[in-house]
Amino acid sequence: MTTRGTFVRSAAAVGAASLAAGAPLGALARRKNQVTDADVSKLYDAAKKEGKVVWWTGHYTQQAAEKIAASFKKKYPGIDVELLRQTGQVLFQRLTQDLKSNVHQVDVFASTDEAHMTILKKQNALAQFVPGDIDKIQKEYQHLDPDDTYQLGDIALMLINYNPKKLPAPRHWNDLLDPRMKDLISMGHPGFSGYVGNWVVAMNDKYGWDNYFKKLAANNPKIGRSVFDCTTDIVSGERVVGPGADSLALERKAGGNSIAIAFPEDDTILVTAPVTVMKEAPHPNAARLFMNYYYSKEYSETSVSTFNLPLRLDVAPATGVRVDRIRTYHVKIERLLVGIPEVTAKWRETFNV
Amino acid sequence: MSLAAAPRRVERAGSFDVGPIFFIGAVVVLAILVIVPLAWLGVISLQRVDVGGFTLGNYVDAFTKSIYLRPIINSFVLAASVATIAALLGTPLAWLIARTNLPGRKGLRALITAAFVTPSFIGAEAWILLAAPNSGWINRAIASFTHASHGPLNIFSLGGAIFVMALYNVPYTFTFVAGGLELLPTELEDASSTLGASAWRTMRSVTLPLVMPAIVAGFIMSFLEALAEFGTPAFLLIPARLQVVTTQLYLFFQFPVRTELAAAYAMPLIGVTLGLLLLQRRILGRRKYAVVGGKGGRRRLIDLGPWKWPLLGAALIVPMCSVILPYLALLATSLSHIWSEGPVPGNLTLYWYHWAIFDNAETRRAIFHSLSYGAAAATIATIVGFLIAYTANRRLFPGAGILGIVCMAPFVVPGIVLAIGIYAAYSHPPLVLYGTATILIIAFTTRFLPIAYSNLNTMVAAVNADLENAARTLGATRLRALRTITAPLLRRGLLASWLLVFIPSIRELSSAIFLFTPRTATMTTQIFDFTDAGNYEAVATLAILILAITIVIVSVAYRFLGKDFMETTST
Amino acid sequence: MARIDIAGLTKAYGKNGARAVDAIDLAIADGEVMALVGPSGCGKTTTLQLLAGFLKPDAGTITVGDRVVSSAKHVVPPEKRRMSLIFQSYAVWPHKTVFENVAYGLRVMRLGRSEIEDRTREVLRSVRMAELADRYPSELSGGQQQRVALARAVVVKPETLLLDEPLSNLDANLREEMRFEIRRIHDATGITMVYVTHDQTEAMVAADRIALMRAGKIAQVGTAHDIYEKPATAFVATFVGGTNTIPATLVEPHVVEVCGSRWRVRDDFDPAQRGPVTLCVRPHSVTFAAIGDDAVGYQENGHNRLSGKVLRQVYLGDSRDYLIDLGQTQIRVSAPPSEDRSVGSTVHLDVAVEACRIVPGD
Repeated sequence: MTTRGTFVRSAAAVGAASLAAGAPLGALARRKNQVTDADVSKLYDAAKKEGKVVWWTGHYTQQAAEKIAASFKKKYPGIDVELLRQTGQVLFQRLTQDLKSNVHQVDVFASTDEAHMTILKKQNALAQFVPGDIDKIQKEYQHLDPDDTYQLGDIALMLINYNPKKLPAPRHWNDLLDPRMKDLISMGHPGFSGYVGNWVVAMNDKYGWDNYFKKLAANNPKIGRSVFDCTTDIVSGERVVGPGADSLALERKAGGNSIAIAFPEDDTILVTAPVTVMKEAPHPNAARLFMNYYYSKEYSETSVSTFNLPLRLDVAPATGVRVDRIRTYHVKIERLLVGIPEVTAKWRETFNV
Repeated sequence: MSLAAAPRRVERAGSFDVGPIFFIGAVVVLAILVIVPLAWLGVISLQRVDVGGFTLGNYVDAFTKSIYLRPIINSFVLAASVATIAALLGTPLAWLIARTNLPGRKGLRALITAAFVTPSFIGAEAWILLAAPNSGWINRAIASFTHASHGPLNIFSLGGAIFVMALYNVPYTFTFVAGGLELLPTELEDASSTLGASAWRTMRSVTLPLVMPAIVAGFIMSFLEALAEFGTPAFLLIPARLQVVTTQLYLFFQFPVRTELAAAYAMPLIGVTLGLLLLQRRILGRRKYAVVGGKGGRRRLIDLGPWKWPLLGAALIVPMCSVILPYLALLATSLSHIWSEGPVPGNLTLYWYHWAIFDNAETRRAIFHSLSYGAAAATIATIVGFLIAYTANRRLFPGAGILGIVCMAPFVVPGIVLAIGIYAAYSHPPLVLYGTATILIIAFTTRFLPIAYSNLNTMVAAVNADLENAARTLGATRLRALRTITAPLLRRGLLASWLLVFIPSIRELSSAIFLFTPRTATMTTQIFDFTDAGNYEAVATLAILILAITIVIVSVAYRFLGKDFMETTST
Repeated sequence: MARIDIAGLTKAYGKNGARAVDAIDLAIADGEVMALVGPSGCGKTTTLQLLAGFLKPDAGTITVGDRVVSSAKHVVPPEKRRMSLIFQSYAVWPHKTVFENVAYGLRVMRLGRSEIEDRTREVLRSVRMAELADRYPSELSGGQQQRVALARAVVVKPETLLLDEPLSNLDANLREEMRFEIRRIHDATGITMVYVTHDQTEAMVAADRIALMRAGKIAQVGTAHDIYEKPATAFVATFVGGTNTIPATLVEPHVVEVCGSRWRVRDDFDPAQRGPVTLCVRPHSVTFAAIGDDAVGYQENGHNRLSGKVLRQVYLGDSRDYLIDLGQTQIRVSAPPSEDRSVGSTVHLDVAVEACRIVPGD
């Protein structure tokens, strides 16, 4: 899953009730609001009458989102997809303004920040919905919201991008602190990029600010704005290594560039993003059909074809490595809300920018 | 037929005067564009976050924390350096081109105009391609020559940013000084040389002081532009670890959004700008340097003799750095599959152009938006500017002169601050314009209204009021006289004003960046997005497209309006 | 045609500024040509602007016929006043042809095409600009442009024609021609005209009556003859025609004491009045007396005699211009060219009592 940098948001993470250990419900037990196959065909019939679904997403690039939309239309002919793709913050601003003016034009809202959902939930703007194949995703993320007003919409990984021609594969985040990495590192800025913010909070919580970032500063990393600056700099040859997302690196690699990803042994940082159906959706049936589609095989396969991570565990990612098979660290939403401003302030002190 | 006077006529039915409605309309539009956003900015800066209610806390926060104070200092250092260098480069260039027999003067002028229409942040992008420490082409070339590990240039530095911004600010000083020099009759300098002064001394003690107002005007213009610039500092100074006011304002708009803090932070920028403009008036007001009206005197060009060619070489350095090298770099990148491999055979392709124009609906739409928003803004600004200039000039009602000042007010507000004000004013009921094309058009119109107004003001003042009055004595209402007499006489001026708003609108980034959404993206915001995704090829392609469109439009304008329409009037 | 009445008209500069026009009263008869004359800053142009409706009076009224067109409360806008204006700068529109310039007013009146065509061509013929109807003003001389302006102004058959220094921008021979043109139009149409000029000769030639203005007030209104022969003040006397002004003291009715001797003068003031007055003597009313007689002051032959010394003389072809020192004052004398007195010589001068006018001490 990739997100454009400009307005990429900070506080994004799913935190809510993690039912990783000792889930009270069995995998086959139906949840309230969970969709059945019979429901799906009813939804489809009703959705055809509605004619279209309005989908706002911050998750993908425009091309990737268009591919998903096309695949939905292929599976469910007769329903148009009106797609609006921009960074989460911008979408959120528009949505809140629309709601203030009592304008309801969005059916499915896929933000990059769970914090947005917290706010929208308080405003009672979200509908409860559970896709039929919710159990096909990683257990930890099956219950992002105890009230089911939003679900997992997208996963992204923050890991190490590097140039395999210039460097052997780094294995730990601490490798970036090695003096031999001086002048070789490139990364984004937590104030400008939510993903970078997420990663910074994770490193801070794992190792402590002084132990990690003060030492990192000594290596004179190039600081940009977006989470993709690292990938771009490696591709251009400007720098050689850095913390970055998985998708763009994989895409560039497939394009023939000299870049690779490494899963750090001290945890890949996993970033989750939500998706929801709006309560006052103008096309409620199409909306539910579409959100249900998020958890379909076709959706996951299309994601993989654009180098994003599949939601479903039974679809292999582009790297071939299933997300639940790698060591991941996930920052909870409550921590993120406080953590991002906190680390951004520290960042300003340490890096001067 | 006798010419005996006709009997008294009955007033025509239905001939009520619509004139006042138009003028009131212009005033209302002015209020929407300028007064409301600025007022909102002031109000918001005093509001408590989320809770409402008044507080000075925002100002306290904004100006006591050192992380917020440092960007202010950085901005001033940046702006002062840029303005100084731009003046130091622009003045001799202007003298060489306007006063001497330097060969290739016409071509040089064209190149400087090309620099004028190039957005500075695109120049910054191009210079990243050229001078990034490890991957920049110039560096790589030098490094392979000298067998060093990397080249000597680092564009990601304060020096780099000053370099790039100064290059694209040179046109201001150049235009003002060249304009001033052209109106200076040679007799003034002849007087000096008949008294025995050398050419150098004449230049120093006669010419230079006489064009000092123009130099000062150019300096201040560059300073203000540099202060308000967002794109170049975002690209070049963040890696250099330097925040400036504009990037800091941008940060205030990331989650969690702190509009109130941003507003408080932005207000002093307005104060500074205002102060500078008043200072300029003070400096220039004391010495009466009326640029000798009209085309003064014969102008004999100074013969450079054997110095012609070396000076031409020196003169070419500036356009080389602002136009030739960057455009080549962008062109090469736009024609490459993968830019880092360089424009080598095997890597060359027209794919990106095809993609931008035919495949990518987003980009096509962005191009269309840039052109249509620019056109809309130019049209509104010209009409409003014209009506207000007329109202103020002819003193239609007491205090009409104040309208002129309101028209100029946006000039003192940096684009990004204006955008914040417009965002604040028009993003909640009753007038929710966020996300619409309207809000972008408002931003562009407001931002560039001062240019249109000051241009038209000069022109309207030059039209003898007698010409309109004659029409009125013959029975025409004021509005009719305006329409049939004044406007046609000012056709050229109106068109020039239109262009002077249209062109900057196309290349505007700093105000658009706050107000656009995907549906209303422009070419500049697209470029910005693409740089974030590291898609340099797309960036370069779009940049070349913007430049091509702008240059075509400007060339057409030159053909119709003559070469001096770009001379913006000094305030 | 209309009679114009100006009553108490006042207009001040700025808020508490000086008054450009200071409570003036003037009555202009229907069909009359009234000239407003005076030095620059006297208020004549402002008065014209008030008449035309471009300015609003601070006090007073302007009445045309029986309707009040300007008052401190309300001003009928220029387009509704039926007053055409001829400007010093011609104000001929450069982007319209001669024909279009003249036809403009008719178009505003929404007349039919053929009527516009006819009337325009006719009036162009009358100012002898018919062959140049398709030219642009930039292709015309100053005189031709002014004729276009004249045609344009009269083709709409206004009630009043206002002229603001219409001839100042023309050279001498053209002025002559245009004066004739204007007069001819007036005679043919009987339009009431108000004519502003700083040139008193022009006023005397063109106007029926002259209103001489100074510092916002009217110094005197009357025919050219009245003003020239019976100036009410020293200012009027010196402005029209040029005159010598000599400070004197009125000691008896018709008798003043000046330069140490007594003179008889023509005018009568309040018989009881005594005190300082100004004696006005036109330079050409002074003749050189035969050398010999030494007596000064009133001679019983109807002349006053004075003596002085020649300070300067200039030969002007049709006259000699002298500057004579009388001791306490100097006067100019305009003598026939045959009178040649050398500089420094003592001379005796005669001036008829009829030519000695007194005005209140200024």
